[in-house]
Amino acid sequence: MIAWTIGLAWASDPVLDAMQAELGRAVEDLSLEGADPPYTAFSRVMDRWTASVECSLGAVLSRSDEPSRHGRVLVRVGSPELDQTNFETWKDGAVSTSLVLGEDPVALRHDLWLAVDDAYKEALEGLAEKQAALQRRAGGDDVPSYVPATRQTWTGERPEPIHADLLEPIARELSAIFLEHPGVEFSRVSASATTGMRYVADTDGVAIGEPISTVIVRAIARVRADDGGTMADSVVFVASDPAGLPSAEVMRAGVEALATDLEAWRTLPELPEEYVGPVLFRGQAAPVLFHEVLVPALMGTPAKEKPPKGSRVFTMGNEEAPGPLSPRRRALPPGWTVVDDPTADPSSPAAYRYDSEGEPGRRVELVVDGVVREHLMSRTPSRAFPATNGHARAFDDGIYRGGAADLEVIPARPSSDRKLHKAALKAAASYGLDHYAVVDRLREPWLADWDGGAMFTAAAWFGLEGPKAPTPVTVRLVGADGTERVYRGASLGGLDRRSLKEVEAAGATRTAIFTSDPLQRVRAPDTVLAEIVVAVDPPDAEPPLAVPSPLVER
Amino acid sequence: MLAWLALAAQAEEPDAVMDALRTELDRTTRTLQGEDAPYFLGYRLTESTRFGLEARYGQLAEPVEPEGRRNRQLDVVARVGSPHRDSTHAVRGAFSFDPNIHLGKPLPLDDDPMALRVEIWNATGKEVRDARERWQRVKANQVVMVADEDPSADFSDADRVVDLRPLAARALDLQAWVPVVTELSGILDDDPQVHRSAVMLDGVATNTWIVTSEGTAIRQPRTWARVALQASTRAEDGTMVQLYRWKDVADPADLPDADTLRGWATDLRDDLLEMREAPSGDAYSGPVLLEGSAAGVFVHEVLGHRVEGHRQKDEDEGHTFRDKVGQRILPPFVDIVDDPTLAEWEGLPLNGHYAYDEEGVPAQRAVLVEDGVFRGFLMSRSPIEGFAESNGHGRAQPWRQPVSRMANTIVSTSEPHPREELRRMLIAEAKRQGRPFGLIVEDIEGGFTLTGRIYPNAFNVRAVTAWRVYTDGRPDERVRNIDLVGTPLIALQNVMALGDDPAVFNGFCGAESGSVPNAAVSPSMLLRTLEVQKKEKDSERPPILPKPAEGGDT
Repeated sequence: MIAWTIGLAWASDPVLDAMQAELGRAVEDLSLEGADPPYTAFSRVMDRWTASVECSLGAVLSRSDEPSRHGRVLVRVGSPELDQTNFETWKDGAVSTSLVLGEDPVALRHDLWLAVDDAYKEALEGLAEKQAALQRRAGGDDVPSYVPATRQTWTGERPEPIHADLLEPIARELSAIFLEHPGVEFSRVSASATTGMRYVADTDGVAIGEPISTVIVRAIARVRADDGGTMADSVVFVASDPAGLPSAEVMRAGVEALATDLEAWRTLPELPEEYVGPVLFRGQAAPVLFHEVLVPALMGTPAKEKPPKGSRVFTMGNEEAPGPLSPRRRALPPGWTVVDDPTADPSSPAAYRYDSEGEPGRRVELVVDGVVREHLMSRTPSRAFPATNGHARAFDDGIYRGGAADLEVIPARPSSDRKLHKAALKAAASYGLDHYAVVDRLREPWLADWDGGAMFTAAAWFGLEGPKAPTPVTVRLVGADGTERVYRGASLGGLDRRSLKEVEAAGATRTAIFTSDPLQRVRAPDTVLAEIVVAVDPPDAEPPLAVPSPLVER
Repeated sequence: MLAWLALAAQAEEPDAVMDALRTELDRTTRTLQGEDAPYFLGYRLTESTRFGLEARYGQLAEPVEPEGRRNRQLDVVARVGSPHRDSTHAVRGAFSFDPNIHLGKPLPLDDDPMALRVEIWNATGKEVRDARERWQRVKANQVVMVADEDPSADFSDADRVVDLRPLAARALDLQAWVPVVTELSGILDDDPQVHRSAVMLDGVATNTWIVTSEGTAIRQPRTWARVALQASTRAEDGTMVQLYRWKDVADPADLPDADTLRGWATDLRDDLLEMREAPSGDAYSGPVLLEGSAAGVFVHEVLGHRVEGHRQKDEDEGHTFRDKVGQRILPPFVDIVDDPTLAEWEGLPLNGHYAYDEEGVPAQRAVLVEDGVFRGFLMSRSPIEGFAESNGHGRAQPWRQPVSRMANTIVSTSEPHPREELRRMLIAEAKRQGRPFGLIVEDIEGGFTLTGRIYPNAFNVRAVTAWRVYTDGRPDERVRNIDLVGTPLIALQNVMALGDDPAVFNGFCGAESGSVPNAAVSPSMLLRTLEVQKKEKDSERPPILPKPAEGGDT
């Protein structure tokens, strides 16, 4: 468990000292003739011990166990009202570097010195590009670029490293479960741990050393049906330390269920026709639904500004994602609440005391009575929300953007499973149906690559693929008497933020999922949405070879 | 000081890897029958254990991993069709990102028979499906397109080989090197104008298993280690000046001792500072004396890549030497061979040594130029007109399919000249041409060449250290920032004389089949005329602030 030493005064730390020394030099001495000096400078150093073991069928495939130290530097020029950040340019004033290990202050400063120098020069050019491009645009957005930080100093206690020796037996044992499942074509189990410190410092007085500790156990498996269709799925366990993981029995059961469910999937019929009507998102599918559909609508950091048409600044011309839902817009039915509080449960691996910009993490009531009240904000303000609320998470395009940490969706009137069933049937009747659809698992979109299909599409090569929607592993059609038919080969349509306003009912228990980069926890109740399209979408099919798996002979 | 620890397993010991490969190969070839079954199936499993140390500014930058980092990669070759025309044949006019990249498969590190076999089975299925698909495209392409320029078969016969050699040891004691590399990195960094520097020690123990449906079964070990020093600075004109010095050995015990390396570090740092102040070279055409290692790389780029056999049947290639067999391309005192059977040259280890190539063919000495007359090509198992068989030069890194590549390219002469005599000849030739100076190129960093038809069929040898040798007796003057460029046939016609000082250049060469270790051995080479062009120039200013230093920034 992460030990938060509450109230500990900031003590000298060689990494923080080096960061502050080089950032201090940047604002005091860095200048070029005819150019503005930096008005503020920021750095984050991830000082980590990472251990990882990947296994297949009880045997180790790869193993690593090592420290690393990586830093990012962001130098801002101009002023908080207008600096170079959050503009579409190659030169955003943010530079990454690795740092030496050990505690030698001069050696630690060396790489930061070069990174700060590069970042400053980039920032000057980036600001000039931004100013020149904005001059071509009639009228401008007067939202400031940056909200200066307030002084924050704290250093927690560094957690003990978690080594691969501790992880290897877990990965071995869980992966050996697949030896008993010859219908699984491919499987992997990885166990990884990251422990260490996240250091954040800036020239406004922030000097934070936040302990980090995460253990992730993940099993992935793939099956191939006789008709060649493939399906990959995964099960993940996340905790702050090994003791926080579910018991060995629970993890074994989870992996066993993954293997059994996938083997059963091979013989399921394909969905015969499109279904339109209510869908009950149960268990894991519910928080995935809210993570994919609702969370992006609550992230308030403005998108990168683009140069106006006609500008000579080169851009990739990517489609703009829809922005957040404006305050006072309805996101959910009346009575629903969405909160995000990175401090509520310190035992959660998604918890933090200070965000990635060194701002204290805070509880935020994002949706109250179904209406948007706040956004997840970093120090890059928006017109609606001029200040951070301690949710600077993912580093993107040179700045940190507001993101979720520990988000909970709380329904107005939780219903029992029986009532959910009834509500779904009632909604189905308005579509002339005597049954409704249930989705129990929404597959993480990246797992599509594990299906063994084409890996090298031009869109993927150039990074132009849009976000993929999560797909259901199976769809159950449930009748009034509880009888059900289970199908494979379906995808979901009509799954957008508007659909969340049409909730028919929600359950009493909330299921949690974790997502990575950055680590987030989302908890949400089983939810019946009024109208969703379940489309016929058979998986790519490539018939199996005539050579059976060696496991069959075993 | 440093040695591969523990000795090798004995060949007759049980070999779970070999057993698993053979079992799956037998099972697959026995089960898959019919027109679209592979007529050839081959497995190449590469097990690498990598050890590394890196120090910067007197501190370790990478951790010591006592057990190294081990991985196993499986490459599967499935050929559908027949040896005359099969699924590997070029599909002319097709767009593809890189046909030589295929998805190699990580295999378990444990010698667990079932885990190994399941992974091999999975990889085999993928490759067989890919080969079948490609075979359909090849057949259509053969119908649609005109006849191939070179109608040679796609796959040559090779003798069955069974040779199971002892495994390379997988342990290397790095700890003794920690104080050495940290001290050396401090020496390199010991000047305010050295901006970046590092000392690296790398070692790799590789074991390769090759099993084919022709009955070949090979297990061969290889060990390699390198100590390398690098340092860079930025000159006032914006040019990045960097120097790199290294030594490659097969046995780490042959690495230079600490005293020698201290001398290297001091020399490298001093050379760097001298280079920083040296004038930038200008475009030039005139006599050039390439000293040892520079001459070897020159031959590698100018001749070596153009005599790789597979290029002679690729209709996008320049075929510079395809019709030159039996013709004089160099003066009669020049001989060139490529000989992977040599482990060393006059006591110096050669990087390109191996017993069997990646197609399982025994390494052979290939005569390329004899008495100045071109004799033949480097051959893999892809025949070309007039050269039906491999000469053991089918090479590839893991995840790539082999093509013909250089190994140890050795230039020798029947008329060696002492270095001083070559220098006198250089000055005399410069005078004869009316040039104020000739050039001596002492050191190079590598090079590249374009062998296709669309772009100029030219080479570029990247000089590091070069000297103007004035005809009027002025002291030699160091110049930086120049490259040696030209076209192959003219460049070879300009070879005037060779020295008596063969030197070895060990490195890694990148091409279609990836990065493979090789060596170039050559005495100094005097060229009547060679063209020099300015190297690309950076425009970044040197760092604005002084380098951090103990007791105050320098």
